[in-house]
Amino acid sequence: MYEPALQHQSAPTVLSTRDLCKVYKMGEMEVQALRNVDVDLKEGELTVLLGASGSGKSTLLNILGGLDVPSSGTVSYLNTNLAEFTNHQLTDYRRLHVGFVFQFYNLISSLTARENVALVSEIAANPMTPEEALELVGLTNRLDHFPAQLSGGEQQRVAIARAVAKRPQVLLCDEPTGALDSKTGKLVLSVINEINQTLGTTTAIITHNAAIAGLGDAVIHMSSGQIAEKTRNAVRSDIESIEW
Amino acid sequence: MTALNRKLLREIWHLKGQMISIALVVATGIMSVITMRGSYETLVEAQQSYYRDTRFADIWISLVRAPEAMRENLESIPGVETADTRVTFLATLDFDEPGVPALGRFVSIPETGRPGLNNLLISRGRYIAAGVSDEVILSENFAEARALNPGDELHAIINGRARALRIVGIATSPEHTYAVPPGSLYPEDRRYGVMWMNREVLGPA
Repeated sequence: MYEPALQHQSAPTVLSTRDLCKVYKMGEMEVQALRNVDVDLKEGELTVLLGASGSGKSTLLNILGGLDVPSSGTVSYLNTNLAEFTNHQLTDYRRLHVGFVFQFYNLISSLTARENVALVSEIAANPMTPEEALELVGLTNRLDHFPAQLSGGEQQRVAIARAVAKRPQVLLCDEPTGALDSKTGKLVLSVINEINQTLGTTTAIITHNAAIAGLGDAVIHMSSGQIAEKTRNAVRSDIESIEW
Repeated sequence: MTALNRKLLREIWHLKGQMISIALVVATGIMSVITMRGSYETLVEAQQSYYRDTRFADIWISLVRAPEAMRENLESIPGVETADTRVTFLATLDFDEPGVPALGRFVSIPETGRPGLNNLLISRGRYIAAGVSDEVILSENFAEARALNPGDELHAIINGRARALRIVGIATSPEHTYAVPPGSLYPEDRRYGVMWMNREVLGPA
């Protein structure tokens, strides 16, 4: 269960939720996806969101990223309440401050790796060049390859480069290793880990692989739309030590 | 070029077959519209030109035994530019054949000059000569349906009296482009035709 004693107090909070609820209406039936969720993502930290399918992880991440809006409660980004944002403000928030990485990469098949990243760097305020972003993920030699010419791990690394090219404050990863084998998954996690540590990007990773929990500064366990447990790791595990 | 524009161009290139097909369909549609529009405008212009050249009348009034002096009254009505008078009636044509007899719509024309309105376009032969009472001009469709030519003879029962008429010309008139016999909906070119004759001959009839 939630243990205030373990709450990390030193770093400022970038994203936080209070009494966050999300209800989906399906005809006359209501599905409570989130119930009174309180979370804090601290600056520069890597937070792992653990939970079974249907536990509300993706709903929470989508609300944190401005892709969805809560039914009630607050979502604060640097002391501004996202729940009160207009669609236009949410678009700017997503465009300028948040990077997303999805399980199935969502790359555009008719564009090369460089061009997929350029899609973001062309509209961001202070972006890296596509070449810089792809160098960060170790794909300098794959700049002009199309997604179909890349392995799953390489595609996911292009997706990560695309997410970080805008130099976002927050990097949100929804099952980034879900479609990858363990070896490639570790490679992708190491890239995310390195970006978190070198760029200081506040990062949240959704996973149902409990072994990944050791990688984060904070670990949030979710169950049935609620926070079941929050823990902190005194020392983040080495990626190589993670057992899949 | 932005990445989004590159994406658009590449995807168009990948779909070039469909894009060419769509372009051809659109081009064919545009060409059809242009062609049909051109044909329509040409037809309208031809119609207007034909009506103008033949001085096609706007209004017809049927009177029984009206004196010729009425014409001056008609022309004095505001808005009337020209008025013309003629004698017209139906008569049976004698082709010596069984079945329903053929009918002729006889219309008078001046023996000198041409009609002031609804002028004839002579396609074969000539206009009637002055002072000759048996000359007739036939409508083109009737003449073709009956294989009649200038120089042939035609028999008509006018006011109960058989008369032999000499065909001198074949003509069309804007007034009888679509010649429909009385009581019918469609033209019957073998059974109904228009005959133009000397006013002096038809007048007493």
